[in-house]
Amino acid sequence: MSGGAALAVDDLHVEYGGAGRVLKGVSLRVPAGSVVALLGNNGAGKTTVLRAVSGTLRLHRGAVRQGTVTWDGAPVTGTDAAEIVRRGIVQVPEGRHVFGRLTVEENLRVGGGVLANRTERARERERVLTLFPALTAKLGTRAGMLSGGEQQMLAIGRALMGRPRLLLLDEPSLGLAPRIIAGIAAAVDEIHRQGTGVLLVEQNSAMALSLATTAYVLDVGRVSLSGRVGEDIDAARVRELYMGVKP
Amino acid sequence: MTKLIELLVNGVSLGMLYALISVGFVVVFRSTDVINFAQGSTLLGGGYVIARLSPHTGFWLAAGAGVVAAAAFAMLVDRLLIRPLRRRGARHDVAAIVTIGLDVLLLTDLTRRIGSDLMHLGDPWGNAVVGAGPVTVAQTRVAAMVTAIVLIGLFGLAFQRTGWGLAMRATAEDTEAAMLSGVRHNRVALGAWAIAGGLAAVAGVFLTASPSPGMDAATGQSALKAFPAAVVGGLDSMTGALVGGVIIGLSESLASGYQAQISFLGQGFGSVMPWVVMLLVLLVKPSGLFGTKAAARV
Repeated sequence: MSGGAALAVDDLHVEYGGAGRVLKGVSLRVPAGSVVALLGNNGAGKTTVLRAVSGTLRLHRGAVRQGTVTWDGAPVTGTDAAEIVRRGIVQVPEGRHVFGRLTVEENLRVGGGVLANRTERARERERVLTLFPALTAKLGTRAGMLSGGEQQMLAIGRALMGRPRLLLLDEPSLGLAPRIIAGIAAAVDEIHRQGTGVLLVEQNSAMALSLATTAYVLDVGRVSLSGRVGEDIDAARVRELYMGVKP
Repeated sequence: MTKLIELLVNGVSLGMLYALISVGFVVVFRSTDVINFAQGSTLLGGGYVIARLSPHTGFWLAAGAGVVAAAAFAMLVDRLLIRPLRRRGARHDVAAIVTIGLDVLLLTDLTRRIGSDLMHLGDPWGNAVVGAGPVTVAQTRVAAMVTAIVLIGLFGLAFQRTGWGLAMRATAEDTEAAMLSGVRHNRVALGAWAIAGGLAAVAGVFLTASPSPGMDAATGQSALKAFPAAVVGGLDSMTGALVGGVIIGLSESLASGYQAQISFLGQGFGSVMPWVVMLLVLLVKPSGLFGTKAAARV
């Protein structure tokens, strides 16, 4: 994985069903293999940015009105979601959205459906189960029976089965206990170490900033602050300016 | 007693045919959230193709062609009418209304073509009956049962065991999450519509074979009785489609057979029985017997 901007969002404007602009000119970069945090309050437009990248805006009656999203130099806008997965970008949706009536094993198989053959699927499955050993004992369990933390692991695992080069994580810490969040953070760090880029959307800025090298803060549809974590942005500054203190 | 057994066998057989059509409703609903009211005319269209071809090609080739034609037609409906709506995020009830409009158009055209004649599909079973002691049942009823059981069984197996089935189940549960996992929704949908069309045509063959007098323009209407079957079963459950089909088939058969005893309800009560059963079930269980999504929402 070389440097350079793998994912480039430029001057992105998005509307939902003509009901006003949710994004009003967002630009951001995710260099190949890096971890970038996207922070901001509820309703700032973080999830909308992810939808524009993953091709799911349409499902929410949203549309790009202006601007571009490019991946490895090629435009992504207007591309089918399943095709974007095949190009190497996989989103883990907010609220996990595992297939509750399918078993853990079946959830992973759905994610591995994009891979060419059995050998590749077996290899990725092995990698996922090494990353989340807790899932191994639950392979035959219906995903709906898992705890919140396990479901988050499964949602990330299912996404990894598609062997993404860029993982979009939407609020992976949502509703989880601090100890579980630490485990998820460690897993994200490991995923990054193995060469996968991560765009991490979070309200939990402390967790996100501990992982990311670059961060963007969204405020009602615009980037209000961005830069290198530790230099231009740190947790205290983000909290003070934009977030309100997290419990 | 003999009469009761015959009515039960006929009812189950009829019910299996409703189940075939209802499985079509269920796969389409599960994969696209659309209720396909064009099933009746698709069935009639498939039957029309078979009736037209069979004098020239023989029954089996004609039946194959009819099933393929109905499947292809259903795929076209999805590709040309439903997918554009899906793409623009239109409401699912809009798509359902589109299928009603399509059904009206097709029925009108097919009625014109069929005219007032009865068409015969040329099936090989004729009027033969099979009997055990005093009980006799039309051979077509037995053939219908066997065919339906085999098809539904195969389908259930594919649903549980194949990658396509897995993609279908994932889509049914959470379409967006499935797409984000790389499932090609349009392909899943196309497959579902094809199955629905094909199964409807198969059911059409048996619905019009002896002891039915043949196919006329009203055959499409009778196919719509599979709709209460699907709703009774729960609209998104395969098991529900099967059980719902059998319940509807049995209640229709029994109400028709014992018409004399229930004549205070009026003549021909058997033909409205499916709808009565549907209403009763929905009053008690709004999501149907096996459903997870509330059918009442529809």
